[in-house]
Amino acid sequence: MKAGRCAGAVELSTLVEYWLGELDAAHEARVDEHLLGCDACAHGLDDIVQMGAAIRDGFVRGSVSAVLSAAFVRGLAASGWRVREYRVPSNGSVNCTVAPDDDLTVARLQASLAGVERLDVVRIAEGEVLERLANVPFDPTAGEVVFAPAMTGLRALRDQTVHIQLVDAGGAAERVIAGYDFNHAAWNG
Amino acid sequence: MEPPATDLAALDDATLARRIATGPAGAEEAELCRRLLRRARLYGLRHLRDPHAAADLAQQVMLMTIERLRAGALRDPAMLASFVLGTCRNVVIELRRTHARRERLLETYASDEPEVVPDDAARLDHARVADCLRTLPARERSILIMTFYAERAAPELAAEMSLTEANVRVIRHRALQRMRDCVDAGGRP
Repeated sequence: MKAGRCAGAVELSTLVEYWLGELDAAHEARVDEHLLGCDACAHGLDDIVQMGAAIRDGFVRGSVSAVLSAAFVRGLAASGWRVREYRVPSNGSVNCTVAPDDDLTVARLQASLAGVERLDVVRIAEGEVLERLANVPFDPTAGEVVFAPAMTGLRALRDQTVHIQLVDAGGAAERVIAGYDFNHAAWNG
Repeated sequence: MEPPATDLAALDDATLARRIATGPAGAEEAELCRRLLRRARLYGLRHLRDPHAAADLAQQVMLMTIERLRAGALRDPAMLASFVLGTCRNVVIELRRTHARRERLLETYASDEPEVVPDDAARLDHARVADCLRTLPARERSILIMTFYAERAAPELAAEMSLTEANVRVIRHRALQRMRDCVDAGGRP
């Protein structure tokens, strides 16, 4: 797919690589020069920049749940985010809450993931599936999955237990690898 | 009499540059300034990662280019993009120096300046983008968030999530396509 109509239009994927600094210096210089002379491709880059800003905003506002890397969460904390972390052993439980000034709550779900090829994360409350994140990215050697539920949803929870399962969905039949109980209490100061 | 704006929009940069070099050409200058401001701002965002610095760069580059054209000092108008690129590079060096000075001052006289949201952020419907982000497959959502929250490149994410760099790029590209389609469709996946 091309970003726009012009002579030598830059591919959309190349514009993303350019924006993220993945091109080598010579290629980057060629794209720099092309963008300074081409409205259509500059428009394509502008779209990417805007989309990136909107995605960032959605995450900052706590609108979405996501599995993240431990390094990414460390980076957030280092940059000043107030991150509340719960490290829970396989088939363990924890008492938890969300403070008004928390920016992110993270469940660090400990599990042996060796040999797992496809992993799903399932959140259940009162027998109902709240959400299922299918085929999440994970490092099988890390021994944990770092899951960040949407903060907007967490803040709306009343006192209740939310059960999270890690499911091996790579075989013919699903297998629950581990379960975790989060005994949530609304913040009372 | 000045040419209609629609006619000017159809002219290429070199033609506008020639007209500016050969005589009073207010409308042509305005059209070229409009183009250069946008493109140079994007260059600034990419290389300075700061919306204020990018706006400063765009303004300076635009003025220097018009001045050069008026003086008839650009021998080959077809080389306008090369000239603009050279100017951008020089201004970036100068702005980085200024920025470094400013950072030192801020460290000394700790400022409480609020974080400024770039103008770009307002042009997309962020609520719609968040809706689309929620409907993305979990793997794609994770990669987009970790990519665009801090503009992180594929090699970094690949190492953290036990994926190949090529795999990260494929997931990222597919996710961006889905996001564009979803946003264009009004937030429906």
